[in-house]
Amino acid sequence: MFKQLSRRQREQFETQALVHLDALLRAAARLCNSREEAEDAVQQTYLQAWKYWSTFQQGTNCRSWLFRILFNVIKKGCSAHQALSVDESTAANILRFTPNQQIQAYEVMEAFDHLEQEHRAVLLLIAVEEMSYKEAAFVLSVPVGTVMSRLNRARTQLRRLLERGHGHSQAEAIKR
Amino acid sequence: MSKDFIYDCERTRDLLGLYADNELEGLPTSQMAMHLEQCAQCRRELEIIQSQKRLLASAIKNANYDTKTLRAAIELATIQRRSFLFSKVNVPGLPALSLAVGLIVLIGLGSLLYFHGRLGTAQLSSLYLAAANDHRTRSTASDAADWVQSDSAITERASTFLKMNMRLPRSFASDYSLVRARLCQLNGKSFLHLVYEAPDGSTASLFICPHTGALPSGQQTLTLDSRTLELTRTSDLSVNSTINTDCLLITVASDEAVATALLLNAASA
Repeated sequence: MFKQLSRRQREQFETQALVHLDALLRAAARLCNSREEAEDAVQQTYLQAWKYWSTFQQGTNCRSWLFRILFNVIKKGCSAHQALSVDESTAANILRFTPNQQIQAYEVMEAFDHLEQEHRAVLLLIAVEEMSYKEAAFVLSVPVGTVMSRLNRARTQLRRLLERGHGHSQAEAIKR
Repeated sequence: MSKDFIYDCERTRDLLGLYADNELEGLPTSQMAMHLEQCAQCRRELEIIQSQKRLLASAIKNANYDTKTLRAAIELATIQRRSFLFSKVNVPGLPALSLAVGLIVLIGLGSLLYFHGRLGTAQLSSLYLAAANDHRTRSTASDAADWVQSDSAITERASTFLKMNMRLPRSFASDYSLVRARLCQLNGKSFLHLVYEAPDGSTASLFICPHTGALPSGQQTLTLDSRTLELTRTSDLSVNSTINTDCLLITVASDEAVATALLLNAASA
């Protein structure tokens, strides 16, 4: 019922898996409906990781493995959201930018949140987490070619949304 | 502009994303670099991709989320599990001495409570017996009409009944998942009854109701992280309870570690 891991395995879990908590939460927060849903998804991810920790091959990429679990959890549990407004943590971070960058960042974030979930997912992995296409393909459980085409569509869509003026209201609010 | 140059622009635009992501290798990279040196329009396209990438990365990556509570909950359910008071005792590597000391303390405490008359079921809140009975008779009757099973229906029922936004644990202890919910009566008081199931068929129940009074007495009181827990053992079930944000939480399971883990999980949610 409960996994009984050795002291060494517990230490490895703490130093290799728990260190990615922030990255997992910020990704989940951009893919789920609410902060609560994102935290649930991350918690479930770690419980799954804990359950299968003895099968995790030490020396392989723990971050990708955790992201893969997280994306599966989100796929099963979170309904795809559209047009989530920029959350408090992201907004607070953007406020640290120069005024001109603030406007651009709000515009990009608002447009990003209007993208389909699979497009946000691939952009998060490549642009934010700086994963290779191969790593992103592993996380999303799709071929590398699918990552490339999704990324291309995501970028095109993001650009189209920016040209249509999504995020304009936020940006205008900052200007004032 | 020559025809070859236009073709180069088209090909370059197709590959700009790969180039920006450092996914191009070998000859195409140098050809792209050469073309980009000559073509201002393609350079502009590349700058747009790179600038969006930079903005996204800096806006999202540096956002500072408070993960203290979440981390504590995860650690409690994973790496700290073994040190928990009611964890199974057959953990490899647990020092025999601490086991023996723990057992002596528990037996001593149990005897003390027994001789002071607190341990008999006579003094036990009938609410806990009602919860145990409801769990025993209803939690496995999954086909009964009053259960809701979908995630959204459970969430809706919880928020309608509790009239507050309370996060319900969707899973706990690695292998227990929330599978159904219903409203029920325990000693004439309405409760939301949630059932969690493990793959081996074991079930655990969580009963919740709005409550502002005192915590009904169990057989043993335990304080954990400034939280008071009441622990009860009936013949075959463990019934534990606590109060969290004006809600009474009662958990029932045959394994006392499971009942307590669910209670802590619900209380920290």
